[in-house]
Amino acid sequence: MTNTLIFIWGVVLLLGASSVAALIWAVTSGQLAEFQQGATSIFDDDEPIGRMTDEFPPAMVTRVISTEGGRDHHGN
Amino acid sequence: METDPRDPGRAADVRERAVIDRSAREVVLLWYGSSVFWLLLGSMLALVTSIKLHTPGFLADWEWLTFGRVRPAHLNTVIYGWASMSGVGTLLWLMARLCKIRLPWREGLILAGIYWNAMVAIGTFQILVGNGTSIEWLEFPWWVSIPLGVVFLVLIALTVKMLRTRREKHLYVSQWYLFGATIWFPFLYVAATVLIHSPAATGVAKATANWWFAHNVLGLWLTPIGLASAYYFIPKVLGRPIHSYYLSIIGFWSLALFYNWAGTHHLIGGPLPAWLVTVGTVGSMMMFVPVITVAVNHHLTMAGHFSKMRFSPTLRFIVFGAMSYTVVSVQGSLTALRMVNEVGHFTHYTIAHAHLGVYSFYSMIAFGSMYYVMPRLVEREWVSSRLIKIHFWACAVGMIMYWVGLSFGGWIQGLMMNNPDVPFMDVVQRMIPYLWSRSIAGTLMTIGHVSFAILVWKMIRREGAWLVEPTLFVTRKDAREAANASHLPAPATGGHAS
Repeated sequence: MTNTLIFIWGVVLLLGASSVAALIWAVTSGQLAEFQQGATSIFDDDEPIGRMTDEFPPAMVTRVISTEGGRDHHGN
Repeated sequence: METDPRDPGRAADVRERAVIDRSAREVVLLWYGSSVFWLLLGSMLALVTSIKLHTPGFLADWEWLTFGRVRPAHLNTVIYGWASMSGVGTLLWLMARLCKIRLPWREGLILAGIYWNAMVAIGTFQILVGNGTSIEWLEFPWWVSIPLGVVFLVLIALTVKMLRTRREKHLYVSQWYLFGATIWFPFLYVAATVLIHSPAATGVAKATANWWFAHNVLGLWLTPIGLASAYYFIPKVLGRPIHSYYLSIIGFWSLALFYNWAGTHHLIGGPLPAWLVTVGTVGSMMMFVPVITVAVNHHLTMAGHFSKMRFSPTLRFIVFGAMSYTVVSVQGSLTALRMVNEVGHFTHYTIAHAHLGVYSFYSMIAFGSMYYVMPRLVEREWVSSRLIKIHFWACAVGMIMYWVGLSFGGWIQGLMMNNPDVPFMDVVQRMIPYLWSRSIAGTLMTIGHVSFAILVWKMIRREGAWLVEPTLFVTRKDAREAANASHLPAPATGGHAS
């Protein structure tokens, strides 16, 4: 039973410690600063904000590329 | 405005994406292709199981296909075969894309994929032969579940390596979820497997370890992968950043804090210390925090753009999945209340809820992700818009029917079983129509899976047109005709993805 307890506590502490370590790392390395920039990090010049990347052709033909597609239109 | 195609910055972006996608091609296709095989096998096992409940004589002469074996065989093939393998495929692709590095250890990951398939095949065979462990979600014999865990350790190492060598310094919210899945779930898997297969945990302790683990397969493995996909694909497909990045981060950390407490709500009414069950209930209620943040965020990102679901299969599947996440989580939190659980526990209501989670939420998001990722890996279009539509509607209608039928039936079942004046046979007979509704719903879902399997098969064999735009709900020819008919210029035919 003692071995089991040591094992369980080991796992629990390791799990807990990994989350605390991740949170501390995130705060100190600035991952939790500049949120809006974070949201736009998945766009680039070729697939900018305002462009759909998965759609069927007639919609592309008739589409007016509009700024309403992206609230914060940076255009990079 | 769209940028000039000759713009050097844009060309560099295209090249960079192509290089990363190509590095992931063989590995991700192997994990995806295998997952679809297990999906088909899992669906067949599910249908056999379902039919047995209203027609008990069905295939009853062969001990391999008795209920006690087919049912766990279904569960384990869909969890470890379909859900985990499609999840790892999406996870590897997303991590490579978001870290902006080529996928490392490709040969190793192909070997890991083959090894994983072999383990799931042996495990499923052992369950059908009668060597299952009878511990739900861990039915593979110990000599299969422990070696399976080795792949999780590889995933931890890979994640750390990708994290350290990443070129994009900022971690996007999807990466947080993916790191959560790959770093925390292996701990759970190894801990639970060791506890359950060693003499350390017996009786009540075994049940506690069992449900702590089983609930977290959904909570810390499938849910983070599903949410990571939704947080990437919804904004990416729409070309619209998520409504509130701040909320998404709160959602992640609150999920990390609360989800793994929730498992003991499966044992309400069981012979556990009351405080242990209460902890599970409290954890479940706290899940309202991450769920509401995700729901609000996805809804506000989509707001005003729901019509675009007509044009994109990825969006269609993923939005369906994201909405189901809200429904299943709210239902789950409420079900963890003792007064609700009193009726719903040990009835078909729980089965409906489980499928709403793993199927309606997770699997629909996995389908949507595969519709986005595969054309980019193979550089071919999907061959048929009709099959995509059949896939979506068969699965969506099937799933809704499944959930409504069994939730309603299960609730009636619970009320009847709680009434000591009702003979048990009355309850059994009352359930028959609801069980039929499940078989019909399951058949619909299987039809959807078969159309999806045909699409994936043809995609892997490169039978689609050369990639111009990845996803078509009508063929390119129809599109040109439609464009000509409306006197609009036909879409450009030059392949910008080449």
